[in-house]
Parts: sequence; C-alpha cells; structure tokens
Amino acid sequence: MRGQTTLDFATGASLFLLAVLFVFAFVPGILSPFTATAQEETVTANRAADVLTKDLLASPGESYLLDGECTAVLLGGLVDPGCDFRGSTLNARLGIADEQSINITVRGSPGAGGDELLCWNTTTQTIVNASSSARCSVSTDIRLTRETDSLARSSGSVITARRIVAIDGHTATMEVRVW
Amino acid sequence: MVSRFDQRGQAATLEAIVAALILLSSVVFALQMTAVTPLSASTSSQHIENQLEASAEGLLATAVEDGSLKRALLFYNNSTNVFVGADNDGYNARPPNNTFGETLSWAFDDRGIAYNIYVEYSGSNTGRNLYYRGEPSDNAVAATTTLVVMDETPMYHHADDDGVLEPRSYTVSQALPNSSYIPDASPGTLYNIVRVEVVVWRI
Repeated sequence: MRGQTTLDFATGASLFLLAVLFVFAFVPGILSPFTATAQEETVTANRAADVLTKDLLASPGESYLLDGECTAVLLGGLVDPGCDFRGSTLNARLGIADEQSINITVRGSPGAGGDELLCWNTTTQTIVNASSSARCSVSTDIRLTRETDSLARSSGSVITARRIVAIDGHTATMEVRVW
Repeated sequence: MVSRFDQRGQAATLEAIVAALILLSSVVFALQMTAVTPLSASTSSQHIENQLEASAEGLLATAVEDGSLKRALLFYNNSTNVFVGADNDGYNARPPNNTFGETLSWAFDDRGIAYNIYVEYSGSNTGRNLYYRGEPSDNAVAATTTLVVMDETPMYHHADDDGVLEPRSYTVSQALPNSSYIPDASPGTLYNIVRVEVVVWRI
C-alpha cells in the first residue's frame, strides 16, 4: 500500500538537488563584478598619465600642453636638469614600483591629427614624423616611445590610459600602458 | 479502503518544491541588493569614464591653445543665424569643416565615441549647440573650458583650401549683436565670455 513512497522520495530529492546545484552555479557569477581584476595596474596607468600630462611635462596651469624637449629627454632616457623629473630610470622618474612595467608612446601627426609615432628631431628641436628616416635619424633623434628598462614578468592584463595632448603645438595622443 | 500512506504519496515532492522555492527566492532577494550584475546592460566602467574625461579635457586644452576652438565658434553666418554648414541645432551628421572638427573626428568619431558640444554665454540668449549628436547616456562625462571674446575679435570663414579658417574683414561686435548668437555683454572692449562644454559618452 506504500507503493508511491520510493518514487515520491526520488522526485523530491532530485528536485531539491537541482535547485541547490543551480544556486551554487549562479551565485559566483553575481559576485564577479566585485572581484578585483588588475586594480593596481588601472590606478597606476591613470595616475602615470595624469602625472605626465599635468605635472612632469607641462607647466603649472597649462595641463596637456607638453614641452617637446622634456618629453624627448624623458622618453629618450637622457638627463636634463631643466626638466621636472629626477631619477635615472623611467619607473623612478614616474614614481612607479620596479615590479610594474610601463610603456609610453606618443602618436599623432605634425599638422593634422594622425596616429603615427612621433619623433623629436634634436637638430631642429621640432616634432617630426618617425616614419620619415630623412627627418628622424635612427642614431641621433629620439622616437617618442619608451618602455621600462628591465621588463618585469608579464601578467595577464594590460591597462591603457590615453590622453590627448599638444606637444610643441602638435595635437597628439599619449598612451600609457601598464602591466 | 484507502490507506493513510496512499494519501501521503506526494508529500516529499511537495516539500522539495517548497525548499527549492525558498532557495531561489533567497537568491533573487540577494540579486536585488547589488546594483550591477553580469546580467545588467551597462557601458559603465570607472576607468573608461576617467579616460574619456581626460581626453575631453585634453582636447579642449589643445583646441584653446592653437586657437582652433575660437575660430570654430566664430565660424558663423550672422545673416542666416547658423554656424556655417549647420542647421539651427548646430552640426549633427559630422563635425564642422575646420581644424577643430578634424581634431574631434580624429579623437572621438574614429573610436566610436559620441559627443555633444554646448556653447554658453552671458546675456539674453543663454546658449547654443555647436554639435549635437543626441541625448547622452547615463555614463556620459563632461569637460568645460572658458574663452574670452573681445570686441575686435574677427569672425572667421574659409578663404582658401587649407582647412584652416581665416579671419573675415569684420569683427564680432559688427556682426553678432543683432543675431541670436553671442550678445555683447560688456560696454568696454570685452565682448563676452563663452563657456564651451563637451559631453562625451560611449556608444
């Protein structure tokens, strides 16, 4: 007379287990927006871009208007006491820990807006296009891109910060990548 | 004869359904507490908003520095009362045909970023749209700058084909006071102070 009890228990237990499994599979997805991903790199990239465009390479009150010579000194790894940064390595000049790697690239195109790498011609002291070897000599002129001197291990995520700047009157973008 | 066990044939199933409902409703309750879930549609990201805001600030700073913003503001037809090549609501389809417009298109249009540009000034008419693309999204950011326009500042137009605007033969104080654009706000040599606001958002 208790013929249905076994079936009843099987249905009930499997229904309940299904619900438990669904909850366990679903809840971690709810929390994923709050788990930290590349938080340190995000802050570093943004802060480095701000420091570069508002402080180290620009005059006070003239944010985003970069000094061409100091930009070339920084990205060429040279030394010039007239510029605001101290230290010898790129990381030290930006105040970034050595564990992090950084890449700074200035792109634009003299005259009109473009996306080509820019170059500082040390003879004429002007911004030129890096693709023209006549105007941007490989040996003496400075291409406006630089990476951390000793690259640290590569981690999964690279965070990019972009700024629109005027470098010696030329509109350009400065991209700061941190990983 | 009906046994009492036969009448309890579905008790365990009903109990399991009730238990599952309690579990699921607690998950739904927990979902209500979080503003952002993987399932909510949003383009919000604090990092991207920071980048857009800094880009807009940098764009305005460079456009003020090279004078292209002021030239674009005074690229105005005072007889038809619109920006040259625009309609009453400013430019819509593409940015203005001048250096400032080229910079805008290079900085934003090429990267799938939408933007509005509002011009505000003191006086009877409060403001105009220089460029209007539509209602900004909830995650839009803004950057502003201020420009001083003097009485003897010239109006601008295209005199040759180089894409850069050239000054006209007449000044703002001769051209604009009777238009619906910037009024003369000061009896002295100052004409008006113009506030330019760029609102940027991802599409």
